[in-house]
Amino acid sequence: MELAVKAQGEIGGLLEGASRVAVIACKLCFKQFERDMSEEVGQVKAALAESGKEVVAELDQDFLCNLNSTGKAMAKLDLSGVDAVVTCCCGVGTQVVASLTDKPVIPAANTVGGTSYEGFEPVESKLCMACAQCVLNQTGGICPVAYCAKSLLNGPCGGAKNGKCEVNKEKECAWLVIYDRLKKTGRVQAMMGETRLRDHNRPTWKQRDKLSRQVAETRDLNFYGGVYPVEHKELTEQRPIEVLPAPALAVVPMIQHIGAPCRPTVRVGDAVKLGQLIGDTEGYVSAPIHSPVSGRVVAIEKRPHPVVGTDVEAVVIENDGLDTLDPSCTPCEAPQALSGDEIVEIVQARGLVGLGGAMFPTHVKLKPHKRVDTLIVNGCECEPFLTADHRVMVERADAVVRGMRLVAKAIGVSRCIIGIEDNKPDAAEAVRAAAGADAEVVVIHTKYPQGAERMLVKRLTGRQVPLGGLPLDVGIVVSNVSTCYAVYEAVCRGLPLTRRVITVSGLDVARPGNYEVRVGTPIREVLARACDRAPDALLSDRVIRMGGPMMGLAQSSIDAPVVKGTSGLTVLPQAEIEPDDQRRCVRCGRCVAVCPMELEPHLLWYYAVREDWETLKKLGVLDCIECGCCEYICASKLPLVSLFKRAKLAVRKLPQEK
Amino acid sequence: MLATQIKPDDELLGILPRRVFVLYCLGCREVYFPLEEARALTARLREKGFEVTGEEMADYLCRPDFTRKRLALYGGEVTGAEAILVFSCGVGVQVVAELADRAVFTACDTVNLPGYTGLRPTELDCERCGDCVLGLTGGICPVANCAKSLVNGPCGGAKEGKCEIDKGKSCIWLIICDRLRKQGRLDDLRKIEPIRNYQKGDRRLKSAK
Repeated sequence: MELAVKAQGEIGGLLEGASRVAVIACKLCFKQFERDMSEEVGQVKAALAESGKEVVAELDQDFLCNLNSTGKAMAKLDLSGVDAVVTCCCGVGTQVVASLTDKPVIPAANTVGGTSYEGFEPVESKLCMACAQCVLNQTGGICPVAYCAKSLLNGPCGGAKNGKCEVNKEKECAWLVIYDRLKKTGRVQAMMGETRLRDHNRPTWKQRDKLSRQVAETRDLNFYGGVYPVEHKELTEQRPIEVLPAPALAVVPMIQHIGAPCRPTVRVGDAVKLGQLIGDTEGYVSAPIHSPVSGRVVAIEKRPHPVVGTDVEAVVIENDGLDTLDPSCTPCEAPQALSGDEIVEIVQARGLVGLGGAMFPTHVKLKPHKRVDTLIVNGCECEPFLTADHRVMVERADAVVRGMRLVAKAIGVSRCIIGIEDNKPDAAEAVRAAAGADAEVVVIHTKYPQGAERMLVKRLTGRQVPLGGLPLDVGIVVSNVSTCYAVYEAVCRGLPLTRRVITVSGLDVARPGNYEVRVGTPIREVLARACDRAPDALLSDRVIRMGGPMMGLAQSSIDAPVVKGTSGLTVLPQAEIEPDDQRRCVRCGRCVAVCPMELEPHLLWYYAVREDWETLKKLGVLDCIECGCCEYICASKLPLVSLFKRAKLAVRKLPQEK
Repeated sequence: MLATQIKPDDELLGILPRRVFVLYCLGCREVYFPLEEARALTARLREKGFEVTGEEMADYLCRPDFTRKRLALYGGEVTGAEAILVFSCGVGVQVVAELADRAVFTACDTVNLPGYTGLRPTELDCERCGDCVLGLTGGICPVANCAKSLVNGPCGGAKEGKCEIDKGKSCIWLIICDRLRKQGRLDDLRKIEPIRNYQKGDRRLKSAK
């Protein structure tokens, strides 16, 4: 994209009668960050000064053509004392600004376009005129519509001299280049045949309008941004849950929740029973840990952890294969007679955490310190590949609903909403049948990350969770379907959280499916059951993620165990193009268009690379939910999420403002 | 902003060599990419006796550095084929055609949608004509939005506010007049140069390296 600032006389003429103006400038797309348009803006301001105009307001905004972010920025701009708004941007930007204010809007520059806007590398002269009748099949992949000065379709005009175009001597004759290319691949025949005429009626307005509407409709449905990755759920969604045998050696890390780590309550050599308490802490935001098998403690030492990244203290238990149940695990005869507080106590004692991935201690959620009127049960499971929640809903709908009723009782609400994406109609049907009149089941359009709390709350209740806040701030508790199932198991059957359903899927997974595994089962054993290839071989040439491809964490060791928050194991091919922070952002604006938190990831990246934590804080980096949409869409494949995670840690360490 | 649509079979099957490697570009999938239809076309190719040496999904074929690397990674899938069939916009096809050592075919027609960056089309478009009239037209572009790209007022063919070219489309000049009237600037229309200089925005002339 290129601009040519209008002559001072023209700008002055357009602003006749106006004395106080606002200047709104865009840094334009497909430009290097360093090329900040200050030269053009300087020229505009000089022209304004020359014409005796006073600049009383200014706005620098990236991607003025983005109605959402420009609307927010303009709302903060005081234009009351302004006679006219002067823009320094492309024609789309000017029109967006004009649609947002009643003041006259005057562009100070002409948009002339560079050679790119469709492509992503401004230095390459690859242009597509989008004529809707592609002739590249006949022209060796070189476009005569874009490169012939006369847009001829049936051969050179004959005016070229020494291979150069007669309209512009700097330019090669496109048709000679086409001829050379075809000759090289032995396809000169492709040029022959009937005279081809260009249909200037294409694309028709109807065609463009229909496509535009189609895109616009799905783009911002339910929430701003988001993406539609290829789901691959068909690999596992019809596979019934299969119970995996307990591991011979269970490795149970003492960190399986957000909050204070647990301390082992057993010693090496102790005999333990299935469900026996083996780790506990005084901290309130924490959850005790129980033995997933019966046997003997053989070690208490640091072991690889799938989430923390470093080695973490773990209790290693040799399984005696008997699954002798600890006497504390007694079923509840009359769960309906329990009071809310009793339910919370049981949930706390049985070590429940959110199974959606964040591993937040469930009992803390069940004791809201604010008034709550609604429970939302999250059955979205928007991550590609994962279908564990899906199968739990289909096969264990009754237990899920019973768990939901217990949660509702604990937090003291009667209104329950279960949100399920429309890619799993069988789950919605099963849950609806089980829930009856107790809950409203809402089927939601499938878009990633619909399962994020903020987006889900907005879609189901219309309430907006404040930035930096929790659903609790708008009177809502959100709980995952599998967590509800675990509540049922804990309360009604007396079982602590020592097993869960995970999806194992992806490349080289010979038996993809949904497996119920014990917490503490090493990844190696799970993969060995599901894959024909040796797990170590997978680690060498595939990427193994705990979770899905969007938010899952790449594992460096397959000795790390499944933990309470593990929703799945996904084996992915190594990226053909590795993320690389040495590449430059081309300012395509796509990350801004997909960020569901409505941030500007390209700016966050720019300042994070420069470690400017203060600016990052102002730009709202702490609101980032690490959903990975920006990294997924990034045309330069920048490692955005890992950088933002690091930036968030650094920003949190900044001294607090008073 | 670009979107792609699949070409009709009869435009493609007659010219395509029998052994092809198929490459889908998902970079613009979030805008619009008919992946299902594309895969269906590949399935039809197989049914009709074409040999498909491989199918790969890539994104941003318009970035030569990425595409060069990918083509090398695909190895035998490419070298075993007589031609590469690309499902992407015209930019992607041209990049592959420049980098590949064999014939490259496209299965798509490319349509441009209004709006530039990001993924959502706006209702507003800019043709980069190089001769911006927005300062006189209330910030609504007649070059991009009038079916006849008139710059000096409505053609007179509109009926009940709708364009005579397509009844689904509003006459942009009536909208321009409404906005200018609201701002008390109708006289601005008299200042417009009635003749458009087509050379100023001609991208074909600027596309030399």
